[in-house]
Amino acid sequence: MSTPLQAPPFGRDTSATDQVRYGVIVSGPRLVAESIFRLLRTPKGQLLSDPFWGESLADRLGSDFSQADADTLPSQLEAAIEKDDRIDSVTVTSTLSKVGATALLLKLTIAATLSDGSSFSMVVAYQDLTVTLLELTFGGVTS
Amino acid sequence: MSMSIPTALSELIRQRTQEEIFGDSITQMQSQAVATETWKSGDPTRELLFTLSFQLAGLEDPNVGYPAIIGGGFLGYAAGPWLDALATSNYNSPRNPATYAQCTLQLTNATAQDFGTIEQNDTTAENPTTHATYHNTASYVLGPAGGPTAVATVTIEADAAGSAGNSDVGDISSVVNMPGVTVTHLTAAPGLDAEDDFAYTLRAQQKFVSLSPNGPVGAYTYVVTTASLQADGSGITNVTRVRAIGDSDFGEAVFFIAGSSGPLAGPEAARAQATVIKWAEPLAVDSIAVLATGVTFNVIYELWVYDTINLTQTEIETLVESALRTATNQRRIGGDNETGDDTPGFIYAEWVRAQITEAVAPHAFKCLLTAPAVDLPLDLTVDPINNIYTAQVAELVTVTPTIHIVPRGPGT
Repeated sequence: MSTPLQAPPFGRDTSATDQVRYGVIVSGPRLVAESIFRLLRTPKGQLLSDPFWGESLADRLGSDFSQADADTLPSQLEAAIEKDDRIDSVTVTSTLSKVGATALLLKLTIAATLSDGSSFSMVVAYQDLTVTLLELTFGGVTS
Repeated sequence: MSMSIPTALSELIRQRTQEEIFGDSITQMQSQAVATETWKSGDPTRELLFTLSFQLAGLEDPNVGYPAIIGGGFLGYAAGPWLDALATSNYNSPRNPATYAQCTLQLTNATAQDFGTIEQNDTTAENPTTHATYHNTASYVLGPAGGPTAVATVTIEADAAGSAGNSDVGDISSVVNMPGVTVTHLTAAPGLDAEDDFAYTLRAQQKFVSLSPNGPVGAYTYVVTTASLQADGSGITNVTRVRAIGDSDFGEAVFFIAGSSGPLAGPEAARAQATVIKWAEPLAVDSIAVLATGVTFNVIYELWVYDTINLTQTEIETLVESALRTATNQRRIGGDNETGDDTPGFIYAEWVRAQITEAVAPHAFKCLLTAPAVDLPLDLTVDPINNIYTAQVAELVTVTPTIHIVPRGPGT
């Protein structure tokens, strides 16, 4: 067996957010940020290899979802994200608003510091069962 | 250098689990200098490999994957639809189909309503115990009470194929859509399930024998058990077991017949004999079809199994009893004996005990058999001088189990 190449922090993998981008390889904080985004868009029980993985909130955004529910989310999500040993610390804030008569829009702002000292922040939006990555920033630079 | 010849298909096929395939994939990636240790749940390449390993493991499933497909090329290993394909294409032997149970009802109109002519399929009868439903096979007339057509004898047929439509005499007690009409259920409704893989395989094996002038025994078996060859054109046969014995001194060949659950009734012998005469009887030979009779026996056993079987006591009892009944109904007419010749044989008590433990293998570790306490003798007599032809099959009546589920404990 040949010796593995010197791996960058957190390894390398194919880029995947809302879709897999074959041929695009990511590493470092982007790799971790994409992983966290996938965590937030995957319903628990959907991942074949790990049914306990996934924190998607999309199916909870029904008509009975309240501001009080939104207020409890940050601490729940921080605990879930910090299970990833690549994350050193994370802060989550949530904003709930109405779109039109009944639709809800939930925005999460996630700021994470990684175990190698690098960082990222992202804004994720939930609306009508759709999860969208609105913004991804590394060290203050928007990607 | 000698070469060992595999005796089982499983020796030729290496089946891997999903975990093994996934592990092999990771190892191969590592051998290509890919650092896989950083991969976590949800990472694209890891999940892609995991999903592929899951799909590939499905292809290696012995029941539906390529082991089943490979087995489909060999009589003895083929099962299910692959056996159908093999036996039909290579042996020109389609599977004997399920039949629809038919029986006769007497319908009595106790009301003043004149139902007039009732067309085929317009009367729905029901067995309230099994909820099997039946429809009339032909039109009939049912007039008002007291009139000349107030009573009609009607043939009905089950809506479901096979034994699901079986009913004993008296069990069909109502017509659903004709209030005020009472039912007298006159004859039993027997339906046959489609031929199972075991019987189908044996019959296909007999096909080549049936083509040989030296193989009348196999020829008798093949034609009598093949529904489509029945001389009466019925397309039905209840015969699943045949034992043919020839006598060159008298030019007679007697063949005993039995069904999948024991002895058969008289018309089966007439149909079997006509079928043999039509398709299989050699020149200068007289063939005689004889119904095997039944010998009943009970089984009483005490069984110890480890809790690794992961079944309840009732489930174990059901599993064992089902296995015993199936195995008993597959024993050959006249029983087995140590020489294999055409002399009376037995249902061996040791064989019964083996069926019990094999039904729950590898979890059983002890079995005490109280009944049958001794080997059960079965008659097999062919005496053309005195014109005596008798043979027996075993019929299992009751099974009385005592089950002990024992903790196996860790690390053993």
